[in-house]
This record gives sequence, structure tokens and C-alpha cells, in this order.
Amino acid sequence: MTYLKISLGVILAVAILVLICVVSGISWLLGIQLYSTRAPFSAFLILLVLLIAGYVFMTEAKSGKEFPVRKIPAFDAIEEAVARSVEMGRPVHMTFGFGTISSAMAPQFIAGLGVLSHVARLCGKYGAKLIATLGVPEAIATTEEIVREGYYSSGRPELYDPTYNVRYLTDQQFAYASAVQATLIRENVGANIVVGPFYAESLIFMEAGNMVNAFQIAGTARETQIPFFVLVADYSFIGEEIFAAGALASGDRETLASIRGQDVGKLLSIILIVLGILLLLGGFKLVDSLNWVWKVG
Amino acid sequence: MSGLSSLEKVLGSKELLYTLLLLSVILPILHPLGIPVEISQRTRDVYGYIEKNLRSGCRVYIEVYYEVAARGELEPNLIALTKHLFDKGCKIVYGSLGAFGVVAFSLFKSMASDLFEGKEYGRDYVYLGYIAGGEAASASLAKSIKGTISVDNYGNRLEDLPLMREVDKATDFDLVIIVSSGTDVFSYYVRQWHTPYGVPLLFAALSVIAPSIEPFVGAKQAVGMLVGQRSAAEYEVLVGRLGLGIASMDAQSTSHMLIVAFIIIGNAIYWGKRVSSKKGGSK
Amino acid sequence: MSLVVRRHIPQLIVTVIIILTVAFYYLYINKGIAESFTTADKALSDWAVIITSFALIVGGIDILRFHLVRLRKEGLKQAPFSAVTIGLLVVMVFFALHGWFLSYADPKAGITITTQPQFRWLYLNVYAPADAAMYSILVFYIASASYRAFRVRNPMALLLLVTALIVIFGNTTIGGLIWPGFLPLRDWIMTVPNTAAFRPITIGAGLGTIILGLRLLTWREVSWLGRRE
Repeated sequence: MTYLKISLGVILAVAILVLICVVSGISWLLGIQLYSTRAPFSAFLILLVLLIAGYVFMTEAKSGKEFPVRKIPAFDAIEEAVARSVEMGRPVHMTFGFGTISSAMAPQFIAGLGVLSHVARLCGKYGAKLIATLGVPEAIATTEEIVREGYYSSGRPELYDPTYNVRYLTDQQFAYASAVQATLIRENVGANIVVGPFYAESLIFMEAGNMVNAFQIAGTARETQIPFFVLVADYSFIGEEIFAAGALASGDRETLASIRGQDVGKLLSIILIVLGILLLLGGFKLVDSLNWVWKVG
Repeated sequence: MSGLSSLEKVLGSKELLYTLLLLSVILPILHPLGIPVEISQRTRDVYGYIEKNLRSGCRVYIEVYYEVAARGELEPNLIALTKHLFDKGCKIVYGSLGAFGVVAFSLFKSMASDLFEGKEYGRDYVYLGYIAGGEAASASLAKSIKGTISVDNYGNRLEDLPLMREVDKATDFDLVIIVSSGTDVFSYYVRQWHTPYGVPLLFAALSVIAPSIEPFVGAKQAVGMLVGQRSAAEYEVLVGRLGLGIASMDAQSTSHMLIVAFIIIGNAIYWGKRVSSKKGGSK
Repeated sequence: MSLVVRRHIPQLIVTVIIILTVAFYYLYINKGIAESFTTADKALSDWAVIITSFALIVGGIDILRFHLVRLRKEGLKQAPFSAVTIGLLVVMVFFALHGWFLSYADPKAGITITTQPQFRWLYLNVYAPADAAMYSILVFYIASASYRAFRVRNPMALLLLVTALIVIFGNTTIGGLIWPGFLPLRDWIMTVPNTAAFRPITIGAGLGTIILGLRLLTWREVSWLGRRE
């Protein structure tokens, strides 16, 4: 019965993909301009394939299939960082960077919030003081809610103090950087966990953390800032690991299985790259076909 | 060995490094060394592209997207590019997708007032001001500027400006230049201006973000890229208007050399200690 | 009820917006529909701008609350910092409101919030230098971080150091005096190996974003709502 249920989910997902392909084919034959010309059609197809692949893995996980996920040292180090801070009697600091939740940086910000929920629970578990600073006003309520939830679900509601725990600083980049720097040093934090969309402020946070000898865990998917984090932090999430961290923090099997979808995407990218190189040697440019836009007439 | 340790302690103190660094930046600005600037192929390519492809009367759109903090690196690039474009007789429409661009533009205009002498506002150049909405605004501008906003930065109606009667959409421009301190803006223009309309893009970026937009240049989605102060200095030499870019090159050179010296000494001490501790161990 | 309001409605909004955004971006169907898609897309981003702007007011109040509470709790120790913050916040808001008032009361004068003289003076002479100073601090941090980080502990670290030195020399005029080859070599490093290293990270981050989108669509990603068990 369970098997049937999973199959139905998968069948439905694949059916949607087939349906879209069939509808696209028919409309192409009828000369209907179904898709916009501003993006290559291949992009749309790849997006659909990835979403459906991720969905299939999630349904399989629901039925009990296990998908092993490789260990991310930075994620495991979070608990150590919180515990160490408690031993030293120093607070834990977390921030998300200057990218906002209302821009293309939203996914990274949400990944940061996922890590915060994990950190907040650990702080509740060990009785650590948490300071979450942010430079994005639209995320104040969410951050307060996550920190509150973390302390409440660990049975330590008395530790939650919104004025102390959640600090909105400013929405100006370097004013935010200087305020975070001041917070790190004045509060003498024991752990500095920074995960999210970081810009030029990243190294300022890292060096300030270094000045107070804080245990530092950093992560971002913004390529230009990754080197600073890798260089200075004790542990770092590199690139898409921050998205996996959110899933790991949830501890939910289905959520973890979705990461498999990412791997399918990587495999697809590698195949396309290798194929592209091989075809290029034969004088054929694969990229031209991939950049094909839906244009009728 | 203790000598090496104490030397390491002295060099490792932030105060010494910071003081020397401060001096190495300030002194060359006060007393320029006058080291000649070699012009990289990449800057020559940008200059060559404008020389070859733009003629008098060409229309160029320039995105001014940097905050005052990034002024030092980007403003000299903007000034040199503007000088080159005006020399070629191009007409320029400036716009900003970030609110801070308005201040950056007014500072740029006051720094380069000589370039705007003899140029008439509305006919030779226009500043659209801050256009809210990020990527969606960028897409909308590419489709129709007048359909996105109705007035420029100074409250003039766009229909009343002669230049704006000539241009409205992405394809009306011969070149689009993005001078930005943020990585995202470059991708907005690639996605919304270049991919759908095929408009040539030219980038001027901070050195620190240049690597992340390099793929666009590699994939020929941009015709070229000017990177930070070094490119600004080179471009100033090419267009013959020496300014802040070249003035700060000496400071950049001395400060970089200081850092190199520290790295080398740091390594020498590290290896000195390692070798001597090994010797100590074998005894 | 609380679960519906606090969890299901926000999740539903996110799901609908994701589907709409994808549809607006990829679908055309016919000219009329495509145009209405563009208008709706612009409207969505306008809403985001409006919501963000209102959030700034919440942020301002939050800053005031934080510093007033601190002043009461910590007294003199915190007083100078909090007083400066609150003072400047009030002053900037006052001048901005004055500029806003003038833009309606006397539109011919052409004064708006950003061109209000006192506001502009404070922005250009207090905020701008402070902002630039914070950015410049990076120079010092990069210097001290490179001093600590570039230790040749193994062959890979040596490779990293050599590459870094070539790029540093290529970025300076002195490098050209030492050896003219630094400049083209720097350009090659930046365009070839560097780009090769950056692209997979970009691709990986893109894939991560798509899968996060999937989790949001299927309501499995709940961390942004605060966890509720």
C-alpha cells in the first residue's frame, strides 16, 4: 500500500513533466508562442527536471528509504562552539550578512535562518546566551520568532529576552559592519557564527571575532567572500553547503533527501560540460543549442 | 630560537603592521613616486572597443551603482569612461538602481565638472536618478524607460528632454556600461538587457568582486571589464586625463609591497623556527 | 487557528509567489497575457519595495527600543553610545521630514528628502566619511589576515602563495618594473584558473537555491517560520 502511495506521487510528478513536454510540443506544431524569449527553453526544462528529481527523492524518503548525507564538519562544530561558549561564560553571536530577504539573496538568508534555528535550540539546550544581529529590517520578526522558539522548545523560556537576543542594527552596509564589530568586542562573544549572504563586511566580522578569540564558524554561497571565510574562520561552509546545513538542522529525513536533487543537478552540469567540450572538439557548439529560445514564426 | 619568537611577536602585533600600512598609503599620496603605469591588454581592449565601435552621436547607458565607500575605486573609472565617451561625441543616459547612486552621481559630477562644461543637460546627457525595483526595474527599463519612469532625477518630464525622445529601450543604446560595487547588478543587466536584447555590456567593478563577474566576460556576455584602481589609472593614461586613479597607484604599490614583505618575513621566521626545533629534537 | 495564521497562510503565500514568479519569467502564451505578466511581475517587486520600506520604520523603532532599554538597564556605561545613536537618529529623521514637507509645501524650490541642506550636509560630511572609513578598515584586516594565513606549511600552501604573489605584483606598478610578465600572468590567472574555480561554486549555489525553492514549495522548509513542534 505504501509502495503504491509513493509510486502515485512519483507518477504524478513525472506525469506533470511529460504533460508539459507534450503541451509544449503540440503548441510548437500549432505555432503558438508558449514561452517567453527572454530565457532559453533549456533553462526551463532543466529547472523542471531538477524540481521533479528532488521531489521524487523526497517521496522515496517518506516511504522509509535512507539517503546518507556526507558529514559537514562546520555543521558538527556548531554544537562544540555553543558548548565552549557556555564553559567560558561568554555569549554566542550569530548574524546573516548584508544581503536582504527581499532580493535574489533570499535563499541564502533563509539558509542562515535555518542555521539560526539550530543554534537557538542548542543555546537553549546548553543555557547559552544568544545574540542575533541583523541588518535587514524585514527579518526582525522572523528572527525574534526563531530565537524565541529555540529557547522555548528546549525548555528554557526564561533565557529569552528579545531586547538582548535580537538586535536590528541598521540597513546600511558599513554601519552594520561596524555595529557588529562593536557587538563582538564589547560583548566578548565566545562563538561567532555567521551564515548567509555576505558582502564586503565578511572579513570585518571575521577579524573582530579573531580579536576576541571567538570560535568562528562561517558560511556563504557568495563566491567572492568564501576565501575570507576559509582563511580566517575555524570552520566554514563552502558554497551550497549552507543550504544543506538548513536541511541538516531540521533533522527531517524528507528535507535531507531533497539534497539528492542538488546532486542530480551537479551530475547534469558535469555531463553537459564534458559533452560541450567533446562536441566543441568536433566543431559543434553545444551552448548555441542550449541557448535556443522559444520563437515561433 | 627565542630571537625568532620575539621577532615573530613584534611582527605579529597588529599595531606595527597597521602603522606601517597607514604610512605606506599616505606617504606616496603626499610625495608621489611617479612609477610608470604599464597598460594591460584588458584595458586596451576596452579602450579599443569604444574607439572602434562608437561614433559621434552614439548613445550609451551608464548604470551608476556604488556607495560612497567604493568611490575611491569606481569614480576614477567612471570619470575616465565619461571623458572617453564625450570625446567621441557620444550621448549618455545615466541611471541608478540603488538609492545611493544619486549621491554618487552628484559627487562624480562635481569631481568631473570640466567634462560637463559645454555639454547641455537633456541633449548630451541625462540622469534618470534612482529607479526602485531592482531586477524587475532593470527589465522594465530595458523594455521602455518612459514606461518605467516619467521624470528624471531633477523632476524634468522625460518627454521634454531631447535625448530621451531619441532613446527609450535597450536596443536604442550602442553600449551599456555598468559601474557597480555590487555583484548582483551585473547579472541583472546580463539577464535583462544582454540575453533578451543582445545589447553590448561593459563592466567596471571593484577588484574584490571582479572574480565573480569574470565568467560573464569569459562567456562574451560583456565586451570587457575594468577592474578597480589599476584599470582606472590605465584608462586615465589612455584618455589623457590624469586623476585620482593614477594618483593612488603609488600608494597601492607601496602598500602591496609592504604586505608582500610581511608575508615573506613571516614565512622566513616560520621556517627558521621549524628548522631549529627539528635540530633541537635530533640532539 | 494560530497554526493556520502563523504557518499555513505564510507558506501558501510563498508557494503562490514562487509559482507566479516562475510563470511570469518563462511563459508567454500571447501578447496580452505576456504584457499582463510583466505588469504583475513589476507590481510584485513594487510590493516588496513598499513592504521593505515599511519594515525600515519598524527597524527604526526597534533601534530606539533597544537603546532606551539599554540606557535604563546599563546606565552610564552604555550612555554615550546610545545617546549618540538616538540623537543622530532623531536629527536625521527630523531633517528628512523637513525635506519631505518642503517638497510638497514649496515644490518650486526643488528640495526633497535627499537634497534638504542639513540632511545632505550630515550625509556627506558625517555619514559618507564614516562609511568610507569602515570600508578602508578592510585594508588593515586583509593585511593582517594575509600575514597570518600565507604560511608555507605544505606544497599546496606554496602554490597558493606563489599565485597570490603574482596577482599582487600584477596589481602594482612596481611589479611591472621587476618583471613585465606579471601583468599578463595576472590576467591569465584571473580569467582562467580563477574563473574555473568560481563557476562550480556559482552552479552549486544555483542548484542549492532551486532545491531550497522545492522545499519551500512542498512546505518542508519551515525554519524561516520559527519551528513549531
